[in-house]
Amino acid sequence: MDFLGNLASGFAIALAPWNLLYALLGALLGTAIGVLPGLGPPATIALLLPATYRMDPTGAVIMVAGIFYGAMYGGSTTSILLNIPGEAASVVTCLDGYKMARQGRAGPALGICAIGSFVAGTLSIVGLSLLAPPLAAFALRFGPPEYFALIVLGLLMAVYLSEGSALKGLLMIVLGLTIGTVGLDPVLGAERFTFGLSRLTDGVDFVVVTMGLFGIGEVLRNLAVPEVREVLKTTLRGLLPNREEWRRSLPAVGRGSLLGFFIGILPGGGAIISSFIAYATEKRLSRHPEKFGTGVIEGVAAPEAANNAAAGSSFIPLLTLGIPGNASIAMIFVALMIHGIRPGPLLIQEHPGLFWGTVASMYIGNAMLLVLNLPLVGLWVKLLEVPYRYLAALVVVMCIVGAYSVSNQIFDVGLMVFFGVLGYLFRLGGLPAAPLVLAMILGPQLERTLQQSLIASGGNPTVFFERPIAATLLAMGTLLMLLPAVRFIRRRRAGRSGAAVSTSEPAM
Amino acid sequence: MASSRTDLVIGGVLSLLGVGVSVEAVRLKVGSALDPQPGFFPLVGGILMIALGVLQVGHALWATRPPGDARPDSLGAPATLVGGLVIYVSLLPWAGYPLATALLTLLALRVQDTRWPFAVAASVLLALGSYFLFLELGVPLPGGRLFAG
Repeated sequence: MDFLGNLASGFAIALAPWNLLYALLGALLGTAIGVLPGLGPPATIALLLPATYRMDPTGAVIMVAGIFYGAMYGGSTTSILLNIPGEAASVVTCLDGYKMARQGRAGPALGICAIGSFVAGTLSIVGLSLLAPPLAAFALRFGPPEYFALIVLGLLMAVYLSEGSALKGLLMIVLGLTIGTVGLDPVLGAERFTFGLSRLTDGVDFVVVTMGLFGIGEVLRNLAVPEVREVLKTTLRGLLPNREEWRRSLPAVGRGSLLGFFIGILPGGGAIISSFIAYATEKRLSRHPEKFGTGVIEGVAAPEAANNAAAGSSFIPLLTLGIPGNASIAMIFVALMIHGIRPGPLLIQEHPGLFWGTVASMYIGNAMLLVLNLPLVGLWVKLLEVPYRYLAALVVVMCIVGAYSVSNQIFDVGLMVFFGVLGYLFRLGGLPAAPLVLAMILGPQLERTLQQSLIASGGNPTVFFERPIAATLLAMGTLLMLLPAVRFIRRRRAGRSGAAVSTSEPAM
Repeated sequence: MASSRTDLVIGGVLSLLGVGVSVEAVRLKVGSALDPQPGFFPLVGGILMIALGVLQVGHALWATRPPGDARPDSLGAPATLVGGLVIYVSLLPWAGYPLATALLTLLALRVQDTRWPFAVAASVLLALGSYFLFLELGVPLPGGRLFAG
């Protein structure tokens, strides 16, 4: 009853005209940036943060949340029609989506994406509404050692679940933690790593870093490797799948939604990894796995459902534990902090209107996205024909304004340019930028909880292993880090024995 | 045995950075577990960075390199834009946002082979449009000493 009452009050907030407008604006912008390759949700949210300064916190969060889940919808259009993922989470949709489009079935591919995304997104929000309050209540039992262990686990999961080398991910985490220490020490107020620059005493702002890494970094990458965009010329007739396609895709949507929801909850889990796992699961369960990659509708339905479900459920760790699981959610964390709201277990108690208003707006936003993505798909296709150079110029200008507006300092613009160059170099070196941003945001909390735990335990470092929840979380983190090492050793052994076999075999 | 120069450089640079962080952390005073001082947490980070950097060097010498980003076709365009951005930052206090941004946008468009008339029109429009839009949104951008009167 409490749940329904809270949800009803949330709908009353979300249905207020301004909040409806913010949800629509977020959904529209999200779809647009999802459709356009080259600008992801973290940079877009960072770019739009200055526009939220004057908004009320609920409206601001409703809009930035809309951008995040809207991008998941839009990303599939580019994957299907261009064979280029508009969004990293839609990479796997290219495999079968583009093949379907080449076979003249772009309509059903886009249709099942929108419908699957709607179903998964809605199921995920139901899960969020039901699961978040008890989880937040449970998290109230956490003390500094549990929080320390939870942040460590979250950061390690961000490494484990991100693409590429785990070692490089760990390096990015440590670099992010170090950048997070720039400024005044949170306990004693001593200046650290400021190099005599007074502007650095307040620390390095996440928004400046995010705009540099994800905004300018991406523009530089696209200038260096110009992308060839060829929109598939196809007639978008009949967006609805036929009966046979419904029969095959509905279970895939169900499985994708479930997988995506649970992967999205994990700190570090998110839309990208869930779409890959959903695709792999469908392929494994299929009677004709060999057909995957040739244009099967399950190969589109499952990953798209999964990435949308994960987008919804990734709000759970943020709103209940105060732990952002990915770079986009980290930007929503920043949006809340700008308005003086600290995400965590007390958020639902202290700001019920914001929590339930945002949740209700996500139900409404999902319905808006269905309308935006099915009948208006032609409009998004037209947007794809806009050359990247115009977008690049716009992104550069928005990044400059965004960085300057953080504290009206030209110094921040320079810092943003520095991180832009760094972001480009990271891409060249295969270094993931998202763990760095997460570590920067969580670093101060990690330091505070570490110090509090140590001081309270009389300087005893085993305090983390004496408390069951903290010990379990740290054990999970250790296991996560051991897995890549075990895999690496196994691969080396397999490689060696393979080489031994090949050298002992006679030459053919 | 496969090795990667890029990965070696990454490991080396981050190890050195770790050394720098650790030295500075010690200078800040580390304290103890019971009485952590400002350098305590950065020292942990510095040591971890050195350890991971050394591991990265070892990994680069020992293992095959995972696929990174696509090799750039040419560094000319990104380098030009970075140069433009650096000049922009130094020009901004004097020339102000509208003029400096129009010039930077012109460079960003020309570096991608946009035709002159369109590039000029688009940069002026973008610079002035964003200036007045954000002024309306309560974000006053620098007008510049040149136009301060």
